[in-house]
Amino acid sequence: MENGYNKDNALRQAVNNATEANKVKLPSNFAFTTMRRIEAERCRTARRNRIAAIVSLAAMCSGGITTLVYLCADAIISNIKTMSHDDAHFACVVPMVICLSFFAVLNTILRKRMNG
Amino acid sequence: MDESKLIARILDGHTDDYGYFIERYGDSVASLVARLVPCHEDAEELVQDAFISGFNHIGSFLGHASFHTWISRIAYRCAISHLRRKRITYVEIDERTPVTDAEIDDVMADSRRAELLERAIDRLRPDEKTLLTLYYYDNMPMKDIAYITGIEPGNVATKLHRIRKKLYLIIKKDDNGERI
Repeated sequence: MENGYNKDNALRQAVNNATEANKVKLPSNFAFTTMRRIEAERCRTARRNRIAAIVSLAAMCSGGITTLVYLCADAIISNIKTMSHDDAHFACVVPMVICLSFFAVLNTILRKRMNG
Repeated sequence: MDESKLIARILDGHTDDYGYFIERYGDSVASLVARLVPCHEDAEELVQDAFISGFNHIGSFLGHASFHTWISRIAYRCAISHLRRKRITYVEIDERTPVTDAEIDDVMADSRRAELLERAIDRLRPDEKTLLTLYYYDNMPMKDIAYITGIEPGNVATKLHRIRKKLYLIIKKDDNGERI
């Protein structure tokens, strides 16, 4: 004891009686159920974060595309028209598609490796 | 078992290790909460909430206090906010009544008064009950009591003194047959 209440025998006895009367023994599966709740809560938080990430990414992408279309729609359309009429310009579309497909496949493989 | 190492492991992603803390301190935390919240089902739920909150904030455990004291503080706060939601009213006593320390000391030391004191303790506010239990039953050091209850360390002794006086006044009023 750090102060002078060492002589409070009656109070100590009363506190002991009151505490013993209210003593709680948790059920034997308490740790298990608590861990299960923790795990469920973690999954819920992870799912919430994933949804938030997807929503914000979608919003950012659509915002970016909308801005691009709003600002450069005329230029893009005229370029596409030029490319479709000119063989030399249209030729660069094929390697670009191959390149993008390659990156898409690479992305899928790497994702699988990382998560596995 | 070195608890700080276990906590480091939990932070590293070995979440199952948290079960050790629940097993070890569950009953003690439950007793603390049960003193505040008499309904055992509610108390059990609150203990679970406290351990979940502890797990979610384990990164903020800095080791200034032991894990037991830290989780007790979280459980205490959970229990107090639960009681606030219930809006229970407790007995109030005019503590300005002049009483000498010797009078209080006599009552607190007289073992024949234990039963009266036990009834008087029942009428205290939960935070007052907890303070008494942490001091007289758990024999906790003042700094740990201060940490758990959120009281300034220097004020714990003052609070204890006021609670003793309040108990004395409750007993005296009962003796005189007055309504509190």
